[in-house]
Amino acid sequence: MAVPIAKVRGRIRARLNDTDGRLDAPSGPQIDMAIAEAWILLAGQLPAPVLVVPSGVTIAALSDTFSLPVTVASSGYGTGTTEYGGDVRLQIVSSGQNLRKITNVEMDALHSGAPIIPYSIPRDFALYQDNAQIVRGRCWPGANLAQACNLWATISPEDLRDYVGTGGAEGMDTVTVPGTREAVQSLVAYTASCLLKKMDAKAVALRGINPAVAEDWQRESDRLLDIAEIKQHNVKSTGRIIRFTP
Amino acid sequence: MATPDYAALKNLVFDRCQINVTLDPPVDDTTFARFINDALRDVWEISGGRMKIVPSSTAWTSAQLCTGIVTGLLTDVADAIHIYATATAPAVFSTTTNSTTLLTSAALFVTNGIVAGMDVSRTGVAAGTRVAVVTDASNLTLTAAATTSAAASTTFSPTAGAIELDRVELSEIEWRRANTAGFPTYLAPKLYALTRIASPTGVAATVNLLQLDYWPGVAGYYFPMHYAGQFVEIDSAVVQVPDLNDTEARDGGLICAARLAALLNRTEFVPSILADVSMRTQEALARKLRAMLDARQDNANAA
Repeated sequence: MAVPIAKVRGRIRARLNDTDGRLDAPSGPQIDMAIAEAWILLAGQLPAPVLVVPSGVTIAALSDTFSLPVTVASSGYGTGTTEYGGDVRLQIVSSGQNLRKITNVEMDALHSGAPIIPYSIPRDFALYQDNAQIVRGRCWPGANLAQACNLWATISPEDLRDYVGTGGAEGMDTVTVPGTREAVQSLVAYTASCLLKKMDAKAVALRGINPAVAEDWQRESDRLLDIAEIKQHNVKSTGRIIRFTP
Repeated sequence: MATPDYAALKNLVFDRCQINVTLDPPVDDTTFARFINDALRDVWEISGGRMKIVPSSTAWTSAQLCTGIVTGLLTDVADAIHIYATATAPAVFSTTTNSTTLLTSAALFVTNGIVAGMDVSRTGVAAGTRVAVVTDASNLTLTAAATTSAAASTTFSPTAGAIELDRVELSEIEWRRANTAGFPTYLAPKLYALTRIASPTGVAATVNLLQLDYWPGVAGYYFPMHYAGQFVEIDSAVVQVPDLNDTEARDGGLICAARLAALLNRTEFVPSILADVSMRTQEALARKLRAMLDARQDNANAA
């Protein structure tokens, strides 16, 4: 589920009794900034969404190095904005074999004492991130022939402010928040709480709000986030951890 | 009770001052007009004025062609209440008036998106007239009767929009114009600030004009405005009724009477005259007095 940011903005305004354009801050753009900042924090606490790119990675012939693509997303955030969330799986297309992820130390151990890298069908891979934030990998053994690999990867939440849309020509009003109902509601409660805490006493009084409610909204946000996480867990789980065995 | 007109207010004031005589009253008509308008203006401010609703073309100079700064056309704006942004251009087509509030067309109202509240501009229809209700594709009701029965080109302009702009200081808009990096991109106006432009000539037509600064400065938008107007003076011939309710207008008459009584050496009447001013106006006047004396208007015990 994805909710247009205009809806999120409206719900936050309703919470803040911010229903008069003549009231002082927060203005619409200020609320959007708060939403984007809160979303990075809240979505970062949820299980990361998984990106699947068929043949997304190719290990070149006679090579044991490769890079994960920086242009994988077509979600309107522009080239190079997608950040990997850590969990990466690769499957060789030609054989269907899943590569085994190992640590860089283990990879070093395989290379140790082998002045010439053997080229065959890769079996293991290890990842690291360079100083340009590009995720690079090594495989063992190296690829004798070019091997296209299907890519499964978790990705970090996007910064909603960086949305450029189709052709780079869309604005913030077309952004959608990619969360479940509970996650979006958690975002509403948390953002409203942050904005309320930023207001001075006069602005709060103008809205007829008891400032103590900010703490309640934060707790509400936490609980909603828990529910959103449980829902995502249920999607991936296979039932009870301890199964009945006859 | 209807709102008292100029003559009724004059009777009220003269009665309370005990000067309602035909031979040589101590206050002539011109002087009375000045005093009554002063008093009514005070009550007008207390009442908050009356909201006027105008389309973009009435409020601004070709706003849809501008890119962030729009020049105002109105000189009677006391304060803007709401400013909207809409990309909907005015609809122009032929309609027929019937010397009543009924306006007809060749089944064009629905297809042109005419809705209640739109401003209607055409020959035979007074300025400020709006659509009261669209009955069907061919018939609608105006808020005021037309003065003619004829077909003519008519312009229907939106008086509201999907985007209500947030009001901010001009400084914020200028800051946002200079600092765009890191912030979201918007393709429609979001914020506005109003500034009164210094009159280059000092003549009435250029005094009190407004400048609308909006952000982001995208073109193609119209800016209908809801605003509180300035007070319109009354007289014995043209504008005979103040734009106030009955109690407020009567309060204006009583305040005028109290001021005149003091000047006419009849101060003994003043307390009894002012005792009849409505409680709401009394409170507001007392608050105004506190503000003028010691700037402690929110402290009811002060002054």
